[in-house]
Amino acid sequence: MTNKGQLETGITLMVIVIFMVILIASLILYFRFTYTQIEENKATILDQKYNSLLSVIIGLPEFRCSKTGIESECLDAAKLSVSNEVIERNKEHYQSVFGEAEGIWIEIPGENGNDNYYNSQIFRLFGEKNGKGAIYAVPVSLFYPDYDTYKIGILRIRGQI
Amino acid sequence: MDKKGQSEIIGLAIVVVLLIFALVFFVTIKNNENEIDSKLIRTNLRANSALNAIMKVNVNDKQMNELIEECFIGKQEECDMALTSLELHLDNIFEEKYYFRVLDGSDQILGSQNGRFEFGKNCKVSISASPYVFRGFGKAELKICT
Repeated sequence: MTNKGQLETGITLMVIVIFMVILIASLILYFRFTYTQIEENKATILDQKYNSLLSVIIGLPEFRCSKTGIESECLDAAKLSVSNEVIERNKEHYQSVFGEAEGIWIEIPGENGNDNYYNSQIFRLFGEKNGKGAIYAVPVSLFYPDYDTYKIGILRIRGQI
Repeated sequence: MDKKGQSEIIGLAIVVVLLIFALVFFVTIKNNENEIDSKLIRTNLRANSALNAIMKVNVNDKQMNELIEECFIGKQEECDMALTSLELHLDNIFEEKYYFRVLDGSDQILGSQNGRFEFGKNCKVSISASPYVFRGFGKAELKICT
């Protein structure tokens, strides 16, 4: 083989090697990107699902506060304090409302957790608080009718993994 | 190596560099778009509900919106009370960064002797709650940084 032929073979080999490297790198990036996109889509769907559920819970008349029949943008703490028992008694119905949520509860930051509902640190609504699923949260306004007072609570839903 | 060979290698190198840049650019842009979409959904409900809850919360015997309205008309004690409790409540409810401010009629941040009604840092990408309007006085705005 002449020098020119060797040089051309060398260049061809170099081009093939570089092309292969770029192809492999592109494939790795593409599959990584596709995987990330699938994960993102999954997270988005779950977000939408549980955010819709949060909206549904905020709108349930069982929890919502009202004065003289007119509903307002808050949850009634007196209703929330006994809702766990009501939900337990009608589990099938609420299971269909809450869908795949594993646990639903409302935390009141800064409270000391006495038995009195006014000082209660947490209102358990459904299922178990502890578990492995992701938690979706939204701050809500809580109204304590016996005390004519509003506090801030955090409504949390623990979804499936 | 002759000049033709050298120029071919340089040409190839330029093509490779351009391809790599294009790939990195595409991946970066695509990832950022996804991030924004996802966070939008995550925080939209939160911002509105949080602002509503903050404005309704009781501080002693008054609601926060009443305290701020009284601050607008120059009551110093109410201003201080609102400033202190706003900071406390905002820190309690948000794990992520936020930006909250109260503006007067001329879109200036409401202030008192002991501070301004501005909490957190303004962020480039955020989700805003619908402003809470104090009729005849101004408005409160809340942004959750994404």
